[in-house]
Amino acid sequence: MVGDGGSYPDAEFVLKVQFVTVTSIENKVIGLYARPLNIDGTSDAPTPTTTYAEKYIGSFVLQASAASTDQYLTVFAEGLPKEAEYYLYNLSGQTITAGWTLKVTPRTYKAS
Amino acid sequence: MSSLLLMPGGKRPPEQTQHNVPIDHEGLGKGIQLLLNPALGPIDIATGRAWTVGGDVKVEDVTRGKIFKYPGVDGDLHYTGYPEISGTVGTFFIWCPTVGPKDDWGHGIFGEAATTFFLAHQFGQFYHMGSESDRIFSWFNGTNKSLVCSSANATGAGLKVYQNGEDTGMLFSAAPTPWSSGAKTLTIGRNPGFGTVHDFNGTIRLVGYTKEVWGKAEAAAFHVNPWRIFKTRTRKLWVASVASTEHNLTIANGALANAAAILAISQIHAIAVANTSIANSASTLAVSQVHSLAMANGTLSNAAGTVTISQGAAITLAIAGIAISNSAASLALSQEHILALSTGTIANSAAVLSLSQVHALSIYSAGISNLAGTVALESSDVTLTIYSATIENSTDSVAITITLNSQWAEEASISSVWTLDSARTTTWS
Repeated sequence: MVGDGGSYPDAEFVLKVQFVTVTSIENKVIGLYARPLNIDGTSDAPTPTTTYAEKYIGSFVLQASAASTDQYLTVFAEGLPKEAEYYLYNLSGQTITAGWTLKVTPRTYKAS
Repeated sequence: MSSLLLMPGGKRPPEQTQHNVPIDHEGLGKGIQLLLNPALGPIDIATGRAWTVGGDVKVEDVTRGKIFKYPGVDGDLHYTGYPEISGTVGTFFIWCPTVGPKDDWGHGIFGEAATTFFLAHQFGQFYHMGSESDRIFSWFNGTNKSLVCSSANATGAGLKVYQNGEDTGMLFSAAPTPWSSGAKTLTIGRNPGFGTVHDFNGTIRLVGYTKEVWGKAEAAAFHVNPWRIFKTRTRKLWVASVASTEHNLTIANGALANAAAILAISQIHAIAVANTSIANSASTLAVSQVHSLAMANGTLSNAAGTVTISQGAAITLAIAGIAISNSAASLALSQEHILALSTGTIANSAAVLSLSQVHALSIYSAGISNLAGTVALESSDVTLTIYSATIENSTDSVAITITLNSQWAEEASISSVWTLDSARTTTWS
């Protein structure tokens, strides 16, 4: 995603997610990380791993929802990289059901 | 047109931030190497590392955000890594809404294995990077506690512990144990070298480590508002356009002439003082007001002529009957005069204005005692009548002298009735 290609340095991320098993997921989080791209010509930052996180963006804090029920979570982020890939780090202790979506709405301050 | 107002210097977060706010690396957040805010889960804000939640520790919602809750049985937060944390210089800090009772051997708060640890011992001593304090301090069973442990160098003298922003005064004789080089397992809320006898019991609002050495000022600031670690956000305010309505600031036809003269704008204010009460005071009460003087069509002609002032009042002078006693003393005649002037007109003249009046003077039954003095009556137009004057017998002559003005002498009619006595002499002149 080109974060601020149109002068949008901030963004609001929305994650739709559900779990088959929701045991003890309340207040646990799914971390959102960025991997800056094209930071030196066409070279990118390293891909995040469990022991390496290039840029932490925010946390989606989970609700104790019912099993197999979508919950929509948001993260407001400031000062995003100019261009980046975004990664999720599941710290809920449960498996996320396939079909999750991550949407982003770039934001900036200008005339409405 | 719309306007964007950038307002730097906004307030720092007054309460727990619920999203990833930048750390103030130029302020209290300088040198931060580890920072955990439970509102974002067990993820280190400074590095993005996701810590492991062990045992019964969990994140809970509370009135003013979220906390890490440690039931005090068996749990911790830990992570293996952090090669950048090394040596002995740095500061550990933690803010706890609640601190519960001690575990078997106290509270292991932060540390690495059984060497470099921060621990409140069950007997009250405190271990700062493994160095034991010279005295005890109060840690267990309290609310809203902050703890700041700084190490300035590799000696025990460089160790300080601040609780709730105040220096505890504890001294440490042993040198601190430096952090292991390379990756190490850091633990929050437990002393990993001693099993489950040092489990922390309480809640944590914010916890972290910095390579800076905090003093009393930093410890106090942290205690008052731990969110000072985060950056002040620039506030951006928009004045947005709505349809054809614009909210712009316009100066209409403002012209400033280049002039050295002073421009004065004055205005007269009406001051109304309604029923004021003035207290007894040495100060001066000043009430000022500008009065407007109105003159309606006043015409003053240039004239050298006289000005006539007339008055129509009548003045009457009356004299009531008076008694004049026979006395050698001077005769004083007093009377209130009423002078009536009928519509008198006084011309503008250099002449002396005289006012004359004819007085009628009557003397009745005057008893004149025998005196050597002279009684003189003078009048320009007098009718003198003497009735029944009694003149006592005296060896001296009694002289009555009437002097008439020569111009009236011939016309004067003098009548008298005398009882002559040979022994007396009457002299006329």
